[in-house]
This record gives sequence, C-alpha cells and structure tokens, in this order.
Amino acid sequence: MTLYDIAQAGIVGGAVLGSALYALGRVAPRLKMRIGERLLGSRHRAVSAVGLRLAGNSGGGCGGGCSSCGGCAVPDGKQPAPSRSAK
Amino acid sequence: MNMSVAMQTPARRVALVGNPNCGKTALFNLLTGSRQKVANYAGVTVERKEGRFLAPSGRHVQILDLPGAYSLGATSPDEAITRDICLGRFPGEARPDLLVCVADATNLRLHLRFVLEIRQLGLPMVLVLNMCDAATRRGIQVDRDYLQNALGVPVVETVAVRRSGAQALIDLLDGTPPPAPQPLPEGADLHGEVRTLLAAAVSMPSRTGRIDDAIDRWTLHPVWGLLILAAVMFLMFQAVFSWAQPLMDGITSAIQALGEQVSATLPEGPLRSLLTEGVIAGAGSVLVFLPQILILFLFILVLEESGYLPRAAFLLDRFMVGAGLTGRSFIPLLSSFACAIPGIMATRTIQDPRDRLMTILVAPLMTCSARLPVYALLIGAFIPARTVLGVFNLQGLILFGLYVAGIVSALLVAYVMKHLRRDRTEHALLLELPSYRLPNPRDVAIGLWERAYIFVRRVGTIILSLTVLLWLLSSFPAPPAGATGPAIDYSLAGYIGRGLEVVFAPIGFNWQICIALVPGLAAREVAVSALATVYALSATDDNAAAQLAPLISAQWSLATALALLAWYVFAPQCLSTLAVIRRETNSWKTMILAAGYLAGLAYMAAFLTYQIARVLT
Repeated sequence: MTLYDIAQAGIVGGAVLGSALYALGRVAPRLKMRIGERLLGSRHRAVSAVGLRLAGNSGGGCGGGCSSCGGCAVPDGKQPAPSRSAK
Repeated sequence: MNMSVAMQTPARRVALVGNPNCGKTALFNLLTGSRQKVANYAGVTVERKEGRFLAPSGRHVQILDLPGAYSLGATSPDEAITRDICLGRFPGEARPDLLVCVADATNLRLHLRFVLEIRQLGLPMVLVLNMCDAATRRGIQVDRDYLQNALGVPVVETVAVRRSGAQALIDLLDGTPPPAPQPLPEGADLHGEVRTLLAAAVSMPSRTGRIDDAIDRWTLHPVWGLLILAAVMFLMFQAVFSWAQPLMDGITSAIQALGEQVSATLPEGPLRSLLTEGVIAGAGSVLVFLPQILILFLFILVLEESGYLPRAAFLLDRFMVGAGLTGRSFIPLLSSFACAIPGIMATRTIQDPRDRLMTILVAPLMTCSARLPVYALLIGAFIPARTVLGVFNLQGLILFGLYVAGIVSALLVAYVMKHLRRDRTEHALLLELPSYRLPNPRDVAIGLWERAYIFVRRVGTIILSLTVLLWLLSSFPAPPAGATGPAIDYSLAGYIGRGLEVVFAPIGFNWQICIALVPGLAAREVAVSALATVYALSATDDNAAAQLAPLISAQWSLATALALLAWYVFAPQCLSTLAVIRRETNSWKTMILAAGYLAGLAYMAAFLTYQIARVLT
C-alpha cells in the first residue's frame, strides 16, 4: 500500500464520516444528541470528545442558516396562546 | 458614566414594541448590526429576536425585537408573544427594563393607541417616532415637545433605514433610564386620548397619500388589479429563464473545467471518483441554479419592499375566502415561495385557529425555491428554448404553469377541506395597507447576498453531505469479478433503487429517479445532485459530470419527465418542513396528515400525467 493509498483512504473515510454526522444532525438532531450523550460516557478520550461534539451541536433545520425557523427540528416550549379569537 | 463601571453593570434589557410595520426590525438591525428580514408589510416578525450592542459609554444593551401588535389583548399567536414578554409572563424571559415603543410618524392616528396602552404598563418607556423623513416629505408636522410632556416619556425621532438614523435613541439608551410614566386612570378612553393628542401635537395636510391613492386606483381595481398582479408574476418567471442563462452557462463551464482538471490530476481510484462523480457532479449540478434563484428573489424582495404585497392579499381575498382560506393567508403563502418553513411560521399572524391550520396544511404546495433546481433541470432538458407568440419564452411559460399548478392545487385542497369540515363561517379581512415605497437598493442587495449565502451554504453542507453519502452507497460494494455493467448496478444504491422501482414504475420512474427521491426528502435540491452522481457513476464518459441535462433527455421519455414534474408539484415535504408543522400545530396527527395527503396527491398526479402523456406521445 502506497502513501497515496493511505491518504486516499483517510480523506474518503473522513469525508464520508463527516457527511454522515452532519446529515444525521440535520435530519435527526435529537437522535444525534442522544448518540452524543451515550458516547460522552465512554472511557476513551477520543470517543468522548466525539460525543461532546455530537451532543453539543444539535442544530436542526434545513441547513440554510437563515434561522427563520429557530432551529425547527429542535423541541421547544409551549407557545403562548392568544387572549381571544377574532371573529 | 465611567467606561469601566458601565462595562461591569449588567446588560440593560430593552424591548422594541409597536404596531406591525412601523420599522421595529429595521431599527433592531440598525442598533445591533443584525440582518433580520424586513419588508413593507405587517407580520414579517413573528418570533422574538434578540441582539446586543455596545453603547458609547461601554454599556451592554440587550435588545429584544418583538412581533408587531395592535393591542395587548392579543388576537394571534405572534401578538401573544409580545403581550407575554411585556407583562413578564413569557417563560424563561425576565421583564424588560425599558420599553422602546416604536410608532410610524406617518400614521400616528393608528399607532398612538398602542403607545397609550404600553404606557399603562407602568414600565420605563421611550417613544420613538420612526420614518420621520417620510412624515416630513408628506408635510406632517409633529410637536415632539408637546408629546413628550403630554405622555410623560422621552420622545425621539429616528429614520431606521439610515445609518445614522438612530443616534438620538442610542444616546438615550446609554444614559439613565427615564422614570416610569404615570398611567391613565382605569377605564380611560384611549381613542379619545389619541384624538386629543393628535389635535394638539400633529398637523397633517388634508391629503397625505395622494400618490398611494393614485396607484391604488389601478392596483386595487377588481379587473385591472388582477391583470397587473398576473403580469407581475408572469414577468417574474419569464425573467428567471431568460436572464439567467448566460450566468448559468458560465458556472457550468467552470464546473466542467474543474472536473476535467481533477480527472487529469488524480490517478483513478475512490478519491477521484468521490471528487468528480460525487462532489463536482453532484453539488456542482445544483450550484448552477444560483442565478435563477437570485432572479426569483430579486423580484420577491422588490415586491416586499414596495408595499405591493398587501394589496395583492387584498385583491385575492375573495378567491381565498371562496376556497376556504383568508386574505391573511396570502403573505404566509407567498413566503412559502422562498421556503415553506418561514411561510408556516408566518401563519402566526392569522388570528383564527381554523384558518391558520388550513394555511399551514396548504403552504407546502407553494413552490419553494428548493424545487426550482428540479424544475429548471427538467424544463431545460425536455422543453425546447423557443419563443412563443414572438415574445414569450416557452421554458418560462412552463415554469409559470408549474407555479400556477401549485397555487391552484393549494386552493383546491383548501376548498375540499372547507367542504369536509362543519364550521363554514367566513372571517372578514382587516389588513393595513402600507404606503408605497421605492425599494432601497442597499436592502435589496443585502437580501440578495443573504439568499446567495443561504443557497451556497446549503450546497456546501446538507446537499454536499448527502451527495457524498449517496456516492458511497452507489460505489460500494464493488462489482464482482467479471461484471460487465456499470459498477453502480451492483452497489447498495442500485439494489435500493431497483427495489423502489417496483412501487414507482406505474408512474414512469426508473431506478435512478427512485434513488434520487430518497435523499431529496432531506432537501429537495439533493434530488438533482443525486441524479447527477448516479448518472456520472453509470456513465463511461469522464465528462458526464457536467452533462446531466443531455443525459436525462436522451434516456428518459417525455412522459417520465412530465410525471416527475407533476410529482414535484405535490411532492412530500422535506423533513424540516414536517418538523415545523409538528411544532407549530403541536400535533403529530396534523404532521402525518400533511405528509400523507401530499404523498398521495403526488403519486396520483404523477400517475395520471405519465399515463396520459404516454398515450399522447
């Protein structure tokens, strides 16, 4: 195996792993958070660091970054209700 | 105040309140340097926004931009947020230290009533007379000193769209907060008080809106108004195809050149395949549509700034009510052309819960900008770029037709739902028509820049990441020794695509389309990048990356392309939209209903289109 093959495997593997984590965070932020919390408890420092990153970075939404949805996939509190309904 | 002392004191909490469309968010942006969306109609802000700024003395000021409200007796969910924060009832939110009540200086007759209501809260407050430049131009004179004495609160003038337009307010926020005003006696006639204040402090020429009235005679005319609206929309979609082509050709050439460069530089292997057939072919095929997205938003931004949109809502109210919606649904539905998420959020301005739910359910049928790349790809590949009747671009006509199909479907769905429910009462539309305004080129430029940023960011994040994952699924496992077909045929994605093909064959979708539909659930543009990756991996030609349109036009029948277009008119929403529906309605049932009926409609429409087109072609 040449140095290029090793670098190639590293780059492709890193790109796939990063993409999978990013997509998971966008499509299922709560699941990503839960996985992160599980990994946080690991004795291995590297695994725990990945867990911290997953648990702390849970932005949902469409990925546009406009924040108009306020991170739409993240659960929030109950909305206030109007005083009366206009008829 | 000493600077070090000012920096150590806790941030002052200031809330911007006022009637809708008085310029609160423009002022918020000016003070905090934010770029929250502003437009010339009521109901743009439906959620509290928070920002900070450092005053000249070094004091930190925390600014809350609250949704506009006509009264503290909230009638809609967005007004309820303002009411609860002002009264200190909003969970997890301390009551503001100071209320900055913003009033439109050109419309004090309406805005002063809410100022008096806010004054009754007994909190320190400042009255900001915004849009003073417009008031002066119209000959409106406001006796600021009289208002200050009569209300017992400081009154400052601002022009929130000018860079130095809020200096007086900044100085005031930086100083000692004013004392709380004395409230009026319980049960005081606020309307009577407003009349007294207006008579003593405001001098208005007999006709303030002469130009507005003259324009409205045409734009609100029951016949001419509708024709003008149709012409504006038509021009918009013509422009999307006619103006964007040179820029799109430029981006396509650049992507093609990049692909060739990478192919020539790297030896054959997974990395080259990932870069050329995944990243460049996939994400690059979506990036091509940036000029069309920007032209669409140029029109939307200019219309938003001009004050025309509420007129369009007024014009369409009769149709909306006939279909079971309300004129108030117009702005949320129009916002859905950008993205269904802010559109669904904007339904908070709708007071009636039934009308609001109906609008949420049909908002996904509006053609969001994420669908534009899919439409543009299919139209570009299957519809000839020729001129009809000497002036109209045929591709633009088809695009216009697809947008109209979305609108008509929304009205039909609302009409059917209206007949299914028991309550058929109709609610009158009360809508504030703002003054016409020439769009500020700087604001339009910032809006376009932000749309470009949002689009490119989506390409570089969610679209790229899903494309990389699809490349992985399409490349592994490797084909067995002695295999003759393209490697993708033996991959996991190939198996998934062929499995799904059983379900989608009756609507004319091949296995490549089936593969593209799955990641398209996360973001619709991904369907384009997924198709590009799948076809690039299937092709033997290295240059296939930049040739998706010719490839599909050669391999698909017209019936399949039309069926896919029909599918995307109704296609099930991205997961983010479904999440917002769930959050805004607080109901899993509603979300499942929305997803189910949209999927059913999409399949039915694609089936009918495919079968009819097959017979006719």
